[in-house]
Amino acid sequence: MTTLDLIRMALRNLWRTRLRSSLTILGVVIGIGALISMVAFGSGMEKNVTDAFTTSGLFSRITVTPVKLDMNRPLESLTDTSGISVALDDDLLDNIKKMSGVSDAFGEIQQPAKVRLGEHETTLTYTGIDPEVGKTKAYQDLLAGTFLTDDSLGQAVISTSLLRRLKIRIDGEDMERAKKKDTANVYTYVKAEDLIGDTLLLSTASFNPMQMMGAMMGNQDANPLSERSSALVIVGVREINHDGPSASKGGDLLIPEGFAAGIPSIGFNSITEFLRKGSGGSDKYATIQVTVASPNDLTPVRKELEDMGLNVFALAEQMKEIRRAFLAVNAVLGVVGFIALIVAGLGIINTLLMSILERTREIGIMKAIGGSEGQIKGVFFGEAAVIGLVGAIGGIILGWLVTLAAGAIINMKIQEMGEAPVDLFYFPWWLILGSIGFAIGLSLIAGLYPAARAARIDPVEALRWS
Amino acid sequence: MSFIEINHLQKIYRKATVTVPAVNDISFTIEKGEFLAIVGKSGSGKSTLLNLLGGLDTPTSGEILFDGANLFGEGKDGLVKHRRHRVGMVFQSFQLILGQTALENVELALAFGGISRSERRARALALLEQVGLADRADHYPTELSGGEAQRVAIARALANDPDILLADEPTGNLDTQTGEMILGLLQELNRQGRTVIMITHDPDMAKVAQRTIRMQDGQLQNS
Ligand SMILES: Nc1ncnc2c1ncn2[C@@H]1O[C@H](COP(=O)(O)OP(=O)(O)OP(=O)(O)O)[C@@H](O)[C@H]1O
Ligand SMILES: [Mg+2]
Repeated sequence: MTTLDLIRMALRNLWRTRLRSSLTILGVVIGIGALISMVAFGSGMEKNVTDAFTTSGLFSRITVTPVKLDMNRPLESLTDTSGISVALDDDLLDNIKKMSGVSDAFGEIQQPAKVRLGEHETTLTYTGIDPEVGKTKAYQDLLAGTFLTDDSLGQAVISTSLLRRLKIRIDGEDMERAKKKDTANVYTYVKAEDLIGDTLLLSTASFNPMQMMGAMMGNQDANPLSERSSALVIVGVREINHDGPSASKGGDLLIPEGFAAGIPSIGFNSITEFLRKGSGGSDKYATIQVTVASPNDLTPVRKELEDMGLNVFALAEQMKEIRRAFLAVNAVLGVVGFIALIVAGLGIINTLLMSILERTREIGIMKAIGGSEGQIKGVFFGEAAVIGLVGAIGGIILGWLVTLAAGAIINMKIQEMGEAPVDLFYFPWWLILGSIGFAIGLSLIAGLYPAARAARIDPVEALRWS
Repeated sequence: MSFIEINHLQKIYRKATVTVPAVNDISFTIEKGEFLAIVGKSGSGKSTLLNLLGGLDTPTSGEILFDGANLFGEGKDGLVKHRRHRVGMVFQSFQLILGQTALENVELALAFGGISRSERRARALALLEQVGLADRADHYPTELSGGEAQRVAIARALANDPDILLADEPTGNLDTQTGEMILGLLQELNRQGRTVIMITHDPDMAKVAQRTIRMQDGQLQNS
């Protein structure tokens, strides 16, 4: 009796009771299909997130922000000047640039403002940035045009997500659908290149403490806030979909740092900064972005910055947490699929036991003509393995079809909302091979008891009544 | 030393309060090439004895020596080898596997005997030829007459070329004429040198045997 003999016999026997066999196999197909599509979904989410991080170059980046808010004593932690010896200014930036392990550092000025392009306007936080920064990896996502070229000119690099808020969408292949859905003609569709050279109007508010005093003293004409507009020429368009990590605050509108310094502004864009201003700290920059030379430098540099009393944030370290979170998500999804498989396993046990009951006499015959217990076990293991294998292959196909259908439906919705389609599901090779192995393993385990029972059948009993 | 030596063989079935000594302290010998008939009333223990000789069952006590070696001395493995290579069994109700053709039924025994896949087909066909059923090779048991089915069963019993044929009322389900044909086949196999042990109810059938033993209440009756 070779393995091939056992498999051929198994196929024969399963075919003999094909309705029951196919129902049992269907159970495995559904179980594996559920497991596969669940895990593929988890893996897909994880892959989307990690890929987005990896390609964005944010792994070698540390973001320095002014102060850590101590939630136990929020006010003190903000106003306690002793703790905040370091302000985010050019001196600090120079010091950071000189630190070992730091390959580059740049500051970003961030201010709230209102922008207008054509008929539409929206509010945002713009970022003043050194045009030199355009050479770094962080801002290589231009769709059209160039990065900022001159520190003193009113230039702007805008994002697609800002454009969308201004009711403009970049025309492209994947827009046909969106256009059809956009029956109310809310959006204007333009080529990214055509936006280069257009003028964007930036309105900022500034705060005048003297007028504030006047207003408080009852002067009706006193207005502590005054508004001023600056014209910006669009030099570049960046692709930001607001679903990746590059959609950081302020990234929608980049203007030269030198030009930004000349724009009168409210002086602070959060209550934190306001309080810090009041307590003597004076931050020029909202954030300082530090790029480390190699991933190994990340932890020591981060430590050094922290020791300086700065509030630092490194995505690479968050990534560990994210990975762990996804592991948990995958585990939960896997458990759901696993339960479906357990049910399928019970189905296999049931089918094999029934088949043994029906074939008691046959088993007796096999023993009488020289079949050993091992060979008889083999016959039933063969059937279990075939159920598992066929079920696994069917399950992979089912899982694949399900994810295909679910992906298509979800992407339809995503595109209706004007976002780019994403690959929601991911089938790593280990998932395919793993589920085949798992299904066969499960089937064999399910076959253990029935096979042992078959092997124990007393041939004399089995042959007596027939 | 006889070919087969049965020493104080006992098989007792215990059910709650009743104990049934199906085979009760039997001792006798069988010589090589003998044609032995076992007769006796229903329930006298004939099948139990034959199943013990076939290694399908184990005794409560006693032993059966084949060429001096105790059949029950080597555990399950010894019994499997015995069933596979030393004996071939034929039953009243044929005991063919219904889902398999005549050929496949014979092939299965060859497969258990470790005959390679390539050799099996030819040997199974040759065996069917030997019982005159080559043309029924692809028939399923339900498509065969009783006589044909029993001949397939005999072909299967011969698959691994055993020295001994054990037949439990092989003609019990057949009409006289067909029964005689099966008996002729067994005689032919006996003439070829095989030891044949056959249970029968029919005194005429027993006449063809060289020796007849009679059983009653699990014991041998002197005759
Ligand atoms: N598993 C069992 N449990 C209890 N008693 C049994 C069992 N098997 C057989 N017996 C008893 O053993 C005795 C012998 O049975 P056996 O089948 O050997 O008789 P037999 O001579 O072959 O009869 P028949 O001619 O009807 O086939 C019978 O009385 C039967 O009731
Ligand atoms: Mg009997």
